[in-house]
Amino acid sequence: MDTLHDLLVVEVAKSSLGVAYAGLILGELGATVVKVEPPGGHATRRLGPFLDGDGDLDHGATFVYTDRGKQSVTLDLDHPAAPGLLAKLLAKADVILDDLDAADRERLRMTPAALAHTSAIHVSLRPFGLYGDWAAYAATPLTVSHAGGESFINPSGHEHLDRPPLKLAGHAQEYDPGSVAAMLVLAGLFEGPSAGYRYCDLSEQDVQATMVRPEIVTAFTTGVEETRATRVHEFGGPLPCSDGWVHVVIKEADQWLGLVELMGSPDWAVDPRYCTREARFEDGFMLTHMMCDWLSRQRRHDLMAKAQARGVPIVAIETPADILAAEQLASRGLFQRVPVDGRQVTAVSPLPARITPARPEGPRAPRVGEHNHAVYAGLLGLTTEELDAAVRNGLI
Amino acid sequence: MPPSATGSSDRRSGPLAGVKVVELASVWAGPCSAMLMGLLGASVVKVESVERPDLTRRSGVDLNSSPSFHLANVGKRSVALELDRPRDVALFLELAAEAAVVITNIQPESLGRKGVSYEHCRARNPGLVWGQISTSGTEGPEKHFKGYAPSFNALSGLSSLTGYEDGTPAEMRSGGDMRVAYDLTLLCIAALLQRRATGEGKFVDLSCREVLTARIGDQVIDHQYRGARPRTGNEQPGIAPAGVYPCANEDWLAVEIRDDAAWARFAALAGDDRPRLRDAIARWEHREEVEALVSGWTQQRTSSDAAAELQALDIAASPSMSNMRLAELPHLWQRRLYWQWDEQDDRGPSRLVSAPWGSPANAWESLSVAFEALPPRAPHLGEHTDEVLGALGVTAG
Repeated sequence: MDTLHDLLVVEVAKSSLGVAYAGLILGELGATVVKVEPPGGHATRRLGPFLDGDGDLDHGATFVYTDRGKQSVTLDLDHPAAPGLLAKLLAKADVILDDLDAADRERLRMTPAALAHTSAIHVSLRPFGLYGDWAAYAATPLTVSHAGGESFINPSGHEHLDRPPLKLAGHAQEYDPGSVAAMLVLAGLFEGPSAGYRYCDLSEQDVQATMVRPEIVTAFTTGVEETRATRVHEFGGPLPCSDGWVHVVIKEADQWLGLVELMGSPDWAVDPRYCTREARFEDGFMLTHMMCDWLSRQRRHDLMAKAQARGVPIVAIETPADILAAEQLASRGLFQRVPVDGRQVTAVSPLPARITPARPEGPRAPRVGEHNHAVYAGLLGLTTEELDAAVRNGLI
Repeated sequence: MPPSATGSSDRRSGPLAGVKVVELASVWAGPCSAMLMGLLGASVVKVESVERPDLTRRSGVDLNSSPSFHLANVGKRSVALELDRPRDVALFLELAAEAAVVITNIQPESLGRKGVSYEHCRARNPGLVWGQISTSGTEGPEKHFKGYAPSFNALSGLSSLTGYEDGTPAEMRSGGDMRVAYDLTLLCIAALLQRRATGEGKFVDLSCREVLTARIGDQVIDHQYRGARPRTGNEQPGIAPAGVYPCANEDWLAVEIRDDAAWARFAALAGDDRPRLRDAIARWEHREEVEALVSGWTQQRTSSDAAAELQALDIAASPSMSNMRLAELPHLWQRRLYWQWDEQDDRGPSRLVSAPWGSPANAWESLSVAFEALPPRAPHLGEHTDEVLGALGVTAG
């Protein structure tokens, strides 16, 4: 059964993909998720990338991934009448997710004081939160990614120290806080409605800083700065094969012995002292170099299968094409077929285990304002005249 | 269960108050997930072996003080059991019979041989939620795969997409474990909600690689739209400047300027207003020139000074923060992201990273109460064996 059957989630966010991701997760668990958009369509719709470069606001890959299955209502949050209509919608919400700054929050009556009479669970997601010296700092996903700590040590290695540290690909670090927000919502639901209105001020930077919990604890305890250069394997890492890349990490002696056997026990590798991590670290550059000659004659998926069969943790560095073709992922029900403009697109689940029945045929993403009538008339009870007036005066 | 001398008790505050969690896990992802549940109010019992202590315990001067153990085990009680002994197996089954959640990263076959698998535990506790961590899941052709955090990132697709435009896939050493911990906690709480409705427990079969694949879900769809794409580093399509620039003190500043008004403020600050760069589309077309202009300005100041000057003009900028800078950042201390114990308290490191929901702006009583008092320190190995087993009506051997 759906975990969150009968639950209404309302997203009031200008741009946060964390909010969208939290809504995606709660929707996957069965909640009804209403996304409030400006009448011209939400910013996420414009992120693309677009199908055949068509620029259609219903087709952007990011929008299809994060907003499939949601209901779309339009509401111009800058309109003088917005607070009144929004209040009606929020009064029906079990869960409120937002990314508004302090001024918008006051104006739209979305402060904890203004919502205290409800029993909603309310999580807001701001780049630096709403409390503290940096709360009002200007931010974009790129600057928050670098404010969080993980980007400073990415990618690991000595090779590129003259070039800037890197954020993680795409929107990964924007989705992370959404996972935490969804977790808090679920914890609040577990606590039950008798606990009344609850509000949590989440900060994207806080969430990102917890990703480098070990490195920050190193700073606390030793005062040593971790950099890309301090975070290297004794040997191995991402290495080229004949048809792509593999990742090699060897920690235990039996893993090393398995690798040596796999390589056909070449003279340079059989030295018993390489059974210790210390010796492998010391000669890491040479060992990696010698291994690369052998790797260049291997095919990555064959090698992964052979290595894993011996308990040697070598894996292929998979590409999106590999992900889509992976039998392992398909067998676990990770994929959903989602309609986009008359064709089917494969989308992954945001959850890394199936705890509700897999739905191989997923819902599509909504058109702008597609659910205005269902929500404003059906749920909130607005009359046809009121709805028409709201459209006429630009409110929705 | 009575409160113990160390202050840990079954009556913790938090949304998960009353939930009993048993953790049979090592290193970081599993222990961090159980710790998060504890910080949300659950009572967490960590089952550990004295004969083979956790790897993170062994990285300190003794088994109880290692920072890498403390960072994942605050607020728990430790029960020492050797699961190759029948008596201790029976005790584990007693603990699991009382628990709402078991968290483990030990593979099902191995647990089955010891007699402490999900099936063994479920026989006595059908409502049990079992949080299982593995590289690829416990079913399917790749179910036995071994890996560490960099391997999950590699298998997930995230490594292949992260990196320099002209470089190799990224070696990613951090972050994977905590992402697993957050998602497992989320799934276990969802399973507890299901249990409330159905009375049924759940085997939550978390695949670490899927945690990271979910973070590139948009790019999996984009691959079906546009085919394989090059890695793009820090680039933000269509926006210049958007990047990370070198500063005077050999560190880096992230800057992104999206609109023309903000660019005009920057140009005035830099004393270099070039008419042909006043338009956002033109700045993207001439992005090499824009990047050079911005780098020229950042190289003359420290990243902290540069960020402060730009933030004063409402321009998005941040130093690329190291662990040292984050540890000292007043903003994060104000937000209660860190714990500080008395320096005289020698049970472990006096400062640690807490959970990201401690903001003083919260209006969530149970969540806030949980943050007002420092949680109990990470337990000594087997510290609570007598207390916990005593409450089960048995005594430790």
